[in-house]
Amino acid sequence: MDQSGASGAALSVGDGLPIVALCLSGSERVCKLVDDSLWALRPADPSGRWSFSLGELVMHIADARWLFAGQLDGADYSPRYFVTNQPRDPGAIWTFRPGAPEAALESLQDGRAAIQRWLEQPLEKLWQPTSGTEDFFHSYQQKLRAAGEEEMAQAYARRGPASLARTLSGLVAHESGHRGSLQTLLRLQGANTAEAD
Amino acid sequence: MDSSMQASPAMTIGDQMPWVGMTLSYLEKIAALIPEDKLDWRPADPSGKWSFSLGEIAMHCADSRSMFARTLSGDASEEGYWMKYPEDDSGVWTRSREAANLQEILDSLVAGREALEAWLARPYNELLNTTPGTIAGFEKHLASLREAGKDTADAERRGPTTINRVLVAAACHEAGHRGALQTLLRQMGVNAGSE
Repeated sequence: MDQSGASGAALSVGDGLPIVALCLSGSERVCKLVDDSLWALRPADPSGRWSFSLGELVMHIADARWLFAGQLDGADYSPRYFVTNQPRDPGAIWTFRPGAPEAALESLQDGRAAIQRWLEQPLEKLWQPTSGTEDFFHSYQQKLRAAGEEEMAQAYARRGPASLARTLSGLVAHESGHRGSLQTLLRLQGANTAEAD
Repeated sequence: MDSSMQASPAMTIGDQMPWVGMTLSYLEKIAALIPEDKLDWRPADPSGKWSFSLGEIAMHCADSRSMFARTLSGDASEEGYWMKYPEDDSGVWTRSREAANLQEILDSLVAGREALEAWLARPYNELLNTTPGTIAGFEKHLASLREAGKDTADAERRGPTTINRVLVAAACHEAGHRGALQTLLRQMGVNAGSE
């Protein structure tokens, strides 16, 4: 059964994946609850592993929006990142440039605006790669082959460059996990996150 | 449907939406770490609001997997669900049945996943399709909007939910609860991964 159930009016990518806007708005409402008094709070992990502070969680969510937007646009938005070192070793300490609630929320909004341009594209583009994801696909494949990862390169080639839908799904799956974490930490502090649901 | 979607008929929905499978696997991995003696542990919310226990988070995710799969198949049944949605403004969910142990909850996560996998295994050029289930749900939604005297124009413009919309919603919903579960486990000192 195809999408003929829709009225035929011009539909956008955002109409085809309404969960994206809902998810981004939900995260923004939760992130706004991290005020100056909560910004530096870092949950204690009795096992000793390092955790994001609440402020770092907000900054990471903002950074990831830029990362995904950069993949779609084929642009390097890393100068917008708050993170300055993201070690690959699990449990290692990430470092961030100094941030504050206002700057993080601004970056969150700007990153959303970069994503929004794609949400406003015609629905037909939802399952197409962008020139940015095609470039990324080719360079990543080269990287895998150069590293002798032929099997992975072949599996990657089979799937092809990421479509707009795949990239947007990745964005919201990533962001939802961190929002769940942030919301939980805020609730443990007594913040009223119900209004952010 | 664009030409790129017709190029590889052997490709499945799951191949094109790898985040869905990854998200489901991630929750299964984290849920398996819940200590048996902490299944009923419930975080205290200083504001007094009710919270899921650790076991209930996993139960709710298992129920939701079934619910999203049933949305696609057009099955309105709530049979087998662990949790009942609050019937009042208290926000308190109740249990429809009790779990004997963590394994029983993990098994229900697997069963819910199998129901979703049936959709992930379909050819990927069906991603934008509606299903009899989503059409029936759409008609019901329109009827409820009309009954409430609300405008149906936007809903009609978008039409019935498509397979991709349901699967991405399932992944996002679950990722949020997994984030909560992982955070609570880490606070207890369980090795539930790092940033």
